Amino acid sequence: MTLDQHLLSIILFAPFAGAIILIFVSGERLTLVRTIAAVSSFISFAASVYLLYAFDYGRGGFQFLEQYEWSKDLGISFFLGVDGVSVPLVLASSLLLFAGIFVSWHIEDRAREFYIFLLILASATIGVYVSLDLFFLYFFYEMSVLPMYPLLGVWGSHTKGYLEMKDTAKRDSLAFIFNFASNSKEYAAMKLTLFLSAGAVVALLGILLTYVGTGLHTFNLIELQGHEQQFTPFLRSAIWLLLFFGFASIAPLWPMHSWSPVGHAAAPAAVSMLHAGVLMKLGHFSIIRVGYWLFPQTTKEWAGLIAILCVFSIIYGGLVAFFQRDTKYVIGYSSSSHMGYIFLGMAALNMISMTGAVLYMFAHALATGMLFAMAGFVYDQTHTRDIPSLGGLGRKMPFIMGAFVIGLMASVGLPGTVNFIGELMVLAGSWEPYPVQTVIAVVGIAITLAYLMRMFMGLFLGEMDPKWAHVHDASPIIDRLPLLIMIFGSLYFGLFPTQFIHVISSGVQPILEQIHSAGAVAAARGGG
Amino acid sequence: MLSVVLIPLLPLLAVLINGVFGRKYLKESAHYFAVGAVAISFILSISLLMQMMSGAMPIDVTVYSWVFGGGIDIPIGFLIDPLSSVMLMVVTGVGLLIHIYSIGYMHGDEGYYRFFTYLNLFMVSMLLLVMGDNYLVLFIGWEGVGLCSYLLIAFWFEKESAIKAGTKAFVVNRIGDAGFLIAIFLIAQQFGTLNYLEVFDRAHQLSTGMATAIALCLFIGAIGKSAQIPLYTWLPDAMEGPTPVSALIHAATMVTAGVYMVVRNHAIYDLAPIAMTVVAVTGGATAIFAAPIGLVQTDIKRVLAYSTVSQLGYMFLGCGVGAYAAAIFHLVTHAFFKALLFLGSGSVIHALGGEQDIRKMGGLKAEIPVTALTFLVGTIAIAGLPPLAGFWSKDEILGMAFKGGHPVLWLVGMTGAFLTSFYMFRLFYVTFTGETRMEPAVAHHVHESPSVMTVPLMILAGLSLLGGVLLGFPPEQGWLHDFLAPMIAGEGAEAHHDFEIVDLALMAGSVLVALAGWWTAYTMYVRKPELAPFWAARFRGAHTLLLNKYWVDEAYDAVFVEPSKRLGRAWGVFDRIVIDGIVNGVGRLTTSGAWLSTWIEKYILYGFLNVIGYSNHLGARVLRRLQTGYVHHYAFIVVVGLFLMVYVILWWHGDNFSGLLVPR
Amino acid sequence: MMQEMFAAQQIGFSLLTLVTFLPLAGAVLIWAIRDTGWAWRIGLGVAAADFLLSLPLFFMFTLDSAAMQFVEHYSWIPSLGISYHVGVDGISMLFVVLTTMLGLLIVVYSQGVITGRVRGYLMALFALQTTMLGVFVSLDLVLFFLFWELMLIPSYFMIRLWGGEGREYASIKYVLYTLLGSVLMLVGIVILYLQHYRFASIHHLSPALSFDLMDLLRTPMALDVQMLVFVFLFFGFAFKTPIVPFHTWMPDVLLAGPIAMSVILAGIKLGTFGFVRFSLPLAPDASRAALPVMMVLGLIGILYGAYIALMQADFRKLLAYSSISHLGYVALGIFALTYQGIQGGLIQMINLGITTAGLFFFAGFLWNRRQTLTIAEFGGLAKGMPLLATFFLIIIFSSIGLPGTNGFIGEFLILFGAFKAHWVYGASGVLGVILGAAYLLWFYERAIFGKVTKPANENLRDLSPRELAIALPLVALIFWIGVYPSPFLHRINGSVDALYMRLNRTATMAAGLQTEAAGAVVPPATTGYEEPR
Repeated sequence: MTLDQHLLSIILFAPFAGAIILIFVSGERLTLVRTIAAVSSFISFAASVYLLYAFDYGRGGFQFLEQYEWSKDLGISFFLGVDGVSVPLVLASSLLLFAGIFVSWHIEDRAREFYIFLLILASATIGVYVSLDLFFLYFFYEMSVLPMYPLLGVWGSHTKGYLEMKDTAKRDSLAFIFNFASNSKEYAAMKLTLFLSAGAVVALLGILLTYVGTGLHTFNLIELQGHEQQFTPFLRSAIWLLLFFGFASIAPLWPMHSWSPVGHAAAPAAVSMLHAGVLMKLGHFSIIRVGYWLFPQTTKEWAGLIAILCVFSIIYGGLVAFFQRDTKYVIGYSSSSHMGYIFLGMAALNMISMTGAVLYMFAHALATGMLFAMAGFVYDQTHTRDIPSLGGLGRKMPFIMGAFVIGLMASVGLPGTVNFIGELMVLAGSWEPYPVQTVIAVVGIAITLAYLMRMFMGLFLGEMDPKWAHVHDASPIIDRLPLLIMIFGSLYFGLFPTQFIHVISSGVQPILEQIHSAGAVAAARGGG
Repeated sequence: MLSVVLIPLLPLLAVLINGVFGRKYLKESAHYFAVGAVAISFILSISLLMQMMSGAMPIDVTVYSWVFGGGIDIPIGFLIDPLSSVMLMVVTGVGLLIHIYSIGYMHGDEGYYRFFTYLNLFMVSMLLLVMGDNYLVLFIGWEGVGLCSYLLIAFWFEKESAIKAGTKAFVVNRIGDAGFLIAIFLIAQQFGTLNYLEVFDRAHQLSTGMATAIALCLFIGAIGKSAQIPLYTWLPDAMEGPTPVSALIHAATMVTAGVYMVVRNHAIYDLAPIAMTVVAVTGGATAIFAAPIGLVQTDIKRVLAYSTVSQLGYMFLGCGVGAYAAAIFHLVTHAFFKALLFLGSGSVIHALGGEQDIRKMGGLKAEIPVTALTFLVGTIAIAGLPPLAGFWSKDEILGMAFKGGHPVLWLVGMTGAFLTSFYMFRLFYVTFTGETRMEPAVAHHVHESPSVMTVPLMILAGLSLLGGVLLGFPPEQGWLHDFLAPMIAGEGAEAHHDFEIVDLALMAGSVLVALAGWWTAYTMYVRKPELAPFWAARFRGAHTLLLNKYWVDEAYDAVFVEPSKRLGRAWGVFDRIVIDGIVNGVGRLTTSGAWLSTWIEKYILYGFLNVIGYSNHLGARVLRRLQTGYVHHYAFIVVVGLFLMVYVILWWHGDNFSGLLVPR
Repeated sequence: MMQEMFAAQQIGFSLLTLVTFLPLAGAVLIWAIRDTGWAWRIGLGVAAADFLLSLPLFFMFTLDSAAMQFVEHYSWIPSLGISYHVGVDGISMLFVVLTTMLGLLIVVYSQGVITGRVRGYLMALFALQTTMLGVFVSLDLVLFFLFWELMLIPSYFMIRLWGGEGREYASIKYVLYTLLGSVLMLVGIVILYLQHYRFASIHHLSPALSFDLMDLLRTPMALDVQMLVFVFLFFGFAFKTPIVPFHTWMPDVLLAGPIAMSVILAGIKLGTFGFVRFSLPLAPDASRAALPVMMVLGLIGILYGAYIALMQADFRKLLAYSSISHLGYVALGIFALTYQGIQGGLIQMINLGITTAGLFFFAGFLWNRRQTLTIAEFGGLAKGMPLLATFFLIIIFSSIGLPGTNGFIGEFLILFGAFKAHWVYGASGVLGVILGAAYLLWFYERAIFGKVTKPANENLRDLSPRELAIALPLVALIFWIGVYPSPFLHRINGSVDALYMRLNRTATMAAGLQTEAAGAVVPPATTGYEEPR
């Protein structure tokens, strides 16, 4: 069936096409601009839902393959395909994009350009998830970072304390050096792009070494697989670590996370959603797709490192989130804390935890998407993200408050949300190899609840400042739609995650088989 | 069977009727149901007694399974045997009289219906106590009478002292109950059942140690309920309740429950000589300990209260020396004359409009002759002068003690008897003879009580006069002994004992002691009234000691009550500061960790990056023209990256270099 | 414990599901209807309907049976071995009925009290009721955990929005405390799950993956694993119970929360239920090993709570500490691991749902009249309010454990059970009996008896019909259980029997597993899932 043959292209290029069409539309015609963005993202979204259910998990492996030769000499081809690991992430990306379009509905300042960048951002992210060619994987990876710069720099907002830092008298003080204009959106944009690019270069080095080392003249992931033994143990580890740290910086793994909360805070809501929801998972995904897939045995050797770092991520991120006054900083640090659970699941290297980790990626995308959307909504209404100066908004915006409770539930991983299933699986998988880390991780859940409740109370309960008398609830369906979609997704897949689990495990299984059989082979070889 | 169940059920129905409808509808007619129910119970009790007298087998009725499971089945069940039928008679008989008396005494009280409700509830509990066929039913009654005692002591709930006394009674009783509960657990564990008959059947299987443990724990219960040392302090305070309550509960029935319980469990006590000694010594000690306090009390009811404590001591003394029948005999006679005395004092109080201080009485003989006369009968009975009831029963206990080889206890008992006789006659003389010391306002209204009160007094006086002879003559072989014999058989010395010269000598001794007490009282309070203050001044220390009841209440307060309160307060503080402090501390530790992490984030991680950024920034300030943003950084890196990629590829495949640029 | 009787055969329809989710449906309905008057009507109707619907559970229950009854079992997330599996046995059935009854009484109570944000209040209340019922009926550990955790949300709002002074602190403390406990409990659940998986895959049992209590009960576990499970489950249940020294949330919440919340928290003993339902049967050997520790904790709780209660100046605080003391009794009974102990523990848990809940209702009655519960503010209430004084006293005596009331049955069985475990436990527990009488009677003496000293107390009205409607059923139950507990015992005994047998079974089955458990870290899932086809 032709649709199936080009399904991935549709998902990938629909937003792109939307972006290109938008270039030719007048920026004045706001409704048209929005509609085009919405329609193109909807096509992508609908197609990814279809993808989830069309994916034949019984068969497993890579499906919906599309391959177009690009450069035979260099071994580059435009090669698309999804396995169980990428399907949920594709869905998450397109869902957040669709939701993000509506979250950004009220942007009037250069809306056309905004939507163009947003569509490019999302489709580039999807591109990473569906690429089976390392060259294009890297290409999309870089491309997904690119729109972040203008999105933050132009449509972003300065974070708290920005004005203080404009004081020229302070500009050469030591404090300024240590806190270098860190409240401006430009700073955030710069930091983000610098950091991610630096990480990308490190990862690129790893990719190139792999390319060179195998000597197969190809970037095709499927062909590259299974040649791990050609590398010396040292080179293997070096490549793996390059790949790991390169990609982990976007994830972000502690201590390479500091770009992330700033980036979240400065970005407009939709961008934060995409950023925390799917952009960060590029890190995990790429580690699995490249590191795990190509170097299974090395992965096994280094898994312990991941398990250690992830605990720092969880606890450190959680603790820092505790003291943030800025709503988006709280969510940002919470995201970087939650990434630790995914790493924990990845480190345990067994079916249940890996499946859980991937499911958690999807779950977190929805949960954090909800929270960012709501933080954005509150910001739109009050023009502040400073928690102490808010309060008592619950009376004014009951819908947002209710939705926030669900977002909080999801973020904490209370049962009924898909996060819980992911969390449960991660814990179940990681208990045997890493009991200590597991216990610390569950304590992290309590910390999560603590700071999210603090934020919840700060925003919605207590006495309301009279100056917020004008704020109103998310009443038009346009405002509610994105939240409803995400809530529905979170609860629906929380109660009925079976399809997801089958799909993901079909993708995880071959990877783990590689890891464990490779180990067995190596052990046998060592013994012989 | 039905009649057995009806005995406690009827008062229970009365409780329900009065409890539900009393306040609104019955009000002053509440006593119809109350008295009626007790009267029927009394008649049924008589029929049961007849049945028992005719030699019928004990009746064991199981009504329904109450608590069961795990191999234990504890039913609500009743056992009627000679012992319980005697107790039934006392409870329902004396109870009925006191019910009738109360009609007059409580007349016009706001809580009339409430009083009868409580009184009937008490009857129910007491009946369960004596009729239960297992320990747990006994325990229901046991606690039930405690409850009613609480309710009735605190009946006038606006009176501070009454409420405090009620609470005290309940809590002190609970201490005893705790011991009783442990005994029940031990029995249940040893026998797997709580039914008396089964337990006593197999009692001999107990080791001495276990029997002693059970007996002692049971006795702790008895100490609490029967106001023995060291748990007697609640009983004098309990006099705060209405007088019929004192008569019924704190003289005739409830406080004797401990004696009943010990006698009921004689099969276990017989196996535990140490426990027997403890019972005897405690009884003796209480008898001699409480009596002197009675010497100096000025509240008419408190004298009687200490007398009760002392008399209960005799009963335990009897139990402890194995004279179970004698103990029950004394229980019965004591019920007669002590109820009489209390009701008599009630009549006095009633006559005087609530006055209880004997210093403000005197010369009442003429004003209220019936009361005075009956009170005299009671006094003689308790003093132990023949042929009144007290003589026979007390003498029997003392005789048994002496002959059982406990001369010290006998001596103690005799001393107690002297004191009893002394303070009781003192009470009589001070109250009823001599010059009146009444306040004029009171004196004006003095009147004899209505017949609904005096008739019970007369009946009780009759019983006090004749009861001893009817039930217990000849000594140790009287009707009561024969009747109870099958129940407490096998104890050798008691069953068939010939009347010997030693018995006569002992009797004579008792009489002499009682007379001595009388004479002393007569001398001090009638013949030479100046003697009393003289002796009091002479032995000021002892007098003060007695007046303050040996400061036992104060000592208990200091040793138990205050430390408990202090502990409660200290733990409360501990809870808030330490335990909660730990919780909050963990919270604070987390926030400290959060603060530290935030600091690291800000000044180390950010700082590190920012220093790099800042140097860049400085550069940018130098090259002002390039300061339009930082896109160039990014672009630069992207370009470098792509160049690098291309470079490596080309370097690796050097031979393809030309091929890439120039198609072959 | 292993047999199941399905609802389809017993009653013909999904009764438990209906009972469990009816309140939630009511909450949704109230949300949809934006009228306060109708909200009350619907609330009352739903609460009453739920109570009536739960009655067949009581009356159609097969007596003296250890089987799970009214069972419904549907596959839910087969790939993880999670199913929708609900049922009640002797351990849980009474709690279901108790919960629906208290739910009804609370609505009746609230109708006279709550004036602001009525719809929200009722919604929170009903959501809470559903989650509590869910906890009692769940036979799948994930389903159980779902309800257990979701309970936090309505509880939080109840405390935070309708509470009194100090509610911010109390609500946060409650939620964090409970969540911390329950996430640790989740680790315990996961360990059980993995054990079952290992056992099932070695012996080729189906299903290999299961959170189902019935399956987990069949899984033998070595002692060290049981210990782990026990410890992790302990955190969850002990925090919730609360067992001293994890109790400090309780006084705060009971003091700051609305009366309804106090009634629920003090009346519905989820923590101790968790111990009986999960800890004891799943980790029997570990429970035996933990017996001394748990008994001592129970005893400490009894005395500690009672002593502190003695000196409280506020009635609600007094009740809070007395609850802690009573929970010490329940723990003492349960962990004696003797027949009577467990039986008494269960009965006492029901009792507290009647008695302590009743005391809190009365605290509410007093609060509604005077807006204070400082004991010194009262005094002499018996004079003007004979009905209140009478019912109050009956409930107090039930709390003290006077024979003839329900409290006695529970206390007696508990203490006897503890005594059977070791006489020292029993004897020490008995001492608490004295203190229990002391603090409550002292309270009663100061607040209800005596003369009216404060003018504000002079013209207080006696119990209103609404309040009587709350007090009467409670008092009726107090006497019913106290005088004729047979119907209750017949419903409990079967399950207690099975549990007792299980606890005292020697740990032979576990021995075989020792070697497996000691084996290296072999990720259990390298062989993949049990594929559905």
